[in-house]
Amino acid sequence: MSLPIITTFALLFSLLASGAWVFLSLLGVGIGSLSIFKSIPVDRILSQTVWNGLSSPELVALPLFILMSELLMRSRFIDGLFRAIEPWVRRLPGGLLHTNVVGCTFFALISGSSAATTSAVGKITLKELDARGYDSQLAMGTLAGAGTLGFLIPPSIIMIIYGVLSQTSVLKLFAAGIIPGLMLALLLMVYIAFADRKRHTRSEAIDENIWKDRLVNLPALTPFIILMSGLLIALYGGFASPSEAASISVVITLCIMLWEKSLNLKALMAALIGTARTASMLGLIIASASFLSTAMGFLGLPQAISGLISSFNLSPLELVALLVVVYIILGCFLEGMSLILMTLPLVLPLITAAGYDKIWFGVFLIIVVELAQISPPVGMNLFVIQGLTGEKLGEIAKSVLPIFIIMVCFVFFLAVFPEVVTFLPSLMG
Amino acid sequence: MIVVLTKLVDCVCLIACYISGIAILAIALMQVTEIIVRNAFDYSFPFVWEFASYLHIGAVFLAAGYTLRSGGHIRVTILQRFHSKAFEIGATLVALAISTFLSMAIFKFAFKYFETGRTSGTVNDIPLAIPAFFMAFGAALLTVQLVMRLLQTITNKPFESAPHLNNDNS
Amino acid sequence: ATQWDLPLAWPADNFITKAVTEFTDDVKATTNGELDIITHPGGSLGFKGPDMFGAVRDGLVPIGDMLLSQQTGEDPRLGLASLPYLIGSLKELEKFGTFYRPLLDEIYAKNNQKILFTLPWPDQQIFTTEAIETIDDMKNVKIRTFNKSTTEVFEAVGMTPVQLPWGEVVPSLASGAIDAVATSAASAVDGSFWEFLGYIYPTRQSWNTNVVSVNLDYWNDLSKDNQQKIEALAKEFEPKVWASIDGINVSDMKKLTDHGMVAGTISDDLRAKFKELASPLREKEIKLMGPSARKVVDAFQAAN
Ligand code: NA
Ligand code: NA
Repeated sequence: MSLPIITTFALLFSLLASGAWVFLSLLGVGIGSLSIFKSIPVDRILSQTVWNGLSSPELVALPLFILMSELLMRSRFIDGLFRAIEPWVRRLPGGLLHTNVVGCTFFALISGSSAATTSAVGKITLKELDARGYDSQLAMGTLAGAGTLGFLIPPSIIMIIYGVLSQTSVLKLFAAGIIPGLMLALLLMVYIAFADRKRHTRSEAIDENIWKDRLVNLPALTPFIILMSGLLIALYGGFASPSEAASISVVITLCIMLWEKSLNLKALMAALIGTARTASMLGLIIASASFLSTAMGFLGLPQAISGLISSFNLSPLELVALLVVVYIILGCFLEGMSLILMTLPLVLPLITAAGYDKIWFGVFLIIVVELAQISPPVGMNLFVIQGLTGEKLGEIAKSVLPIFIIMVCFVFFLAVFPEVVTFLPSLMG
Repeated sequence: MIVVLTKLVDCVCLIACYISGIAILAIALMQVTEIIVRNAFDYSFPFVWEFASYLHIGAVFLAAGYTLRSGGHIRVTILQRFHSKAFEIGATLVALAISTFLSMAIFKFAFKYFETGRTSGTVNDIPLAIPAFFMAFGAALLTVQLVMRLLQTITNKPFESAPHLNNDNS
Repeated sequence: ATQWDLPLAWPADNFITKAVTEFTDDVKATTNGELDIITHPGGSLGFKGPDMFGAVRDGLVPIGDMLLSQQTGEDPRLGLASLPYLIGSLKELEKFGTFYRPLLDEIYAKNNQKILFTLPWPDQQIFTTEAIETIDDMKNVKIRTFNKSTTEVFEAVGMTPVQLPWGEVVPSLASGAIDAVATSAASAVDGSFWEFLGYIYPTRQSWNTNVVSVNLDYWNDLSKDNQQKIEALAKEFEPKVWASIDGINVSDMKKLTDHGMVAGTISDDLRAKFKELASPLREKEIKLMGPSARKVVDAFQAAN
């Protein structure tokens, strides 16, 4: 059993290091290890799983959320969001870095995906923060971390998938994500306050009239509020399903842009090209990750690992600690959705046997998936930020490290105080 | 020769990328129409979800070539510092091998769908060969673009360009 | 020992998964561990429901479990037993099987596979937010359906069938984007339907059967002795599973009613209306499937 594991990891490292694009490397690992250890038609499995990975209807929301962020980036009103939040966080220690966290928290309420949240908010904030002399490491790191709120704060694509696979109530899962999501946002803001060392070298706007600034800029939020309320009405008024809601936000954004005259054919075409590029980049990684997870399933890797774990006879808290470690390692190489699909059938029985609640485990899993989103070499949010800034993956990964540690601590906090997660859903009966 | 070929391949990739973007916009418009019709007229179009998935698959693959050309795909470049040109050639060769395998696999897949007349078996009963061939075409474009990149690298021509993203790129 | 992978589209606690796992355990025991079949539930091997027939045919997996009505894209005749109001009860479904099985065996053999055993799903029902007594109560009720025949029947009685992926069903119920779902009690338990829906009606518009089949290349690689053991085991296993389905349905229905759902009844009038409206749709489908399907239906109806 150790031979397939070693081969797979060796292939992964050498293909990634060769500089071949990530999605092709992942495909190469799957092709290579299946050809070596199994006598099955690899090409047929490859095409079938790539097709399946992408034809998941739940996934359709992803390109739509990307399209929305591409449009938003070319709109005028999204600058208003930044202008409106800015005077409120300006005086906090850490200043405008908080726009990353506050922006992502708001955006998470309309977006079900963490990559889309990172991309949409990053497009607005990173440029502004850079122009105002903020530390780029801190800006990127907090953005990558806050972007993960896209999964934790409902609506959430991953929660829907987990709910279906584990036969848990998606609504309860949505409710369970709210308190941990807000706590994580708060934690990130506290971290920003302590970590921002460049504040004395920055020239901030004079803020004698801060209350005037705060109030004068509030109307700039109107289009954003229209967008959010349109979405919430569609969703909670029973007009649309969560994935369809992504389409509604695209169309509302288009309408607002027409109204504010920021939409012309050239901008639309540029937005479409941008959307296609990001959708292709993310889609191909998801497709190849689902092939790789199938390949690992055929090689029996997940069974081998879970068999090993259950042979240890761990206490519940030790089990969680071990799972965190295993998920962090797997999360380095796998994309979040595959991570869940691959491991859930094996881990869920272990976790329920240890006495943990399925809803609690859902939130736990979403946070470890978020860790996977921000850990190199395969991390969706890192890729999104690389797409936005052109920075080296290593630099971005370094900037995320403190956030990563904070989130790991947060997972253990949730393991010790599961009520944080289970309180809201328990009210639902 | 390479210059002419480059122009041709880039042009096809760009058009495919526009089609990809339009496909994603079409998903949004189609779903919103469905939501309006369903709530206002109590009728639901049975094809919306299914078409949306196919449009998504098609979009992901059709844009692959242009995304490569414009530097939109992600990779690890730790070893680039040792010898830039050798690194580029090596990376492109590895990628080309895998991409060729992928394209051929998907072509075979699409052809099998065509041969067996496999349909989706849903209310709409779409022949799956149609979306599968779009997917295969996109994969082929990616492979061709990788061949171009290899030629461009060897002949010291610029191998990444994105004229249509200009300063509006992010 | 030979190792086979068996993908399942259903969650680990679903009764189909449990039954198939019981079978694979038995296989391991009777073959003295010479054949070890590993089940991969919940789509964890990357295959989806409608892929299974092709996956076994092309040898992607040696053995697979498939819902017949999901495989109609490969051969429309695989949807024969699921035609609306062709079959009235589980008993009739079992009887239909005796006429249908030779055709199924033929289709499977042509596609390089062999059927080991079949297992049925419990009664199809509709789960609604509002009580339904007459056909007028069904007007414009947005119901989630999943296959062609079900969709057409509900459209014919004036409902609004909505095609949604299973993953969207629960959130759409929560938001009220749909008001009803057509499925079995087992799936209703999977989706905790009591959170959003109040009533259950045994419409029994169609019946579903799963097939566990094995790729012939892999099968022929087994020793004659093991082939015989597995065949004997499947023969013994099949009636046992069929006999357990009513019990499963009763226990799932109890779970649903314990959570406060009301188990309603369909009046004879209403069911007759359903049948009447479904009949032309069914005839159209049988015609499309060709004479071999027609023959099975005729033989079944003559004997019934
Ligand atoms: Na969200
Ligand atoms: Na990662």
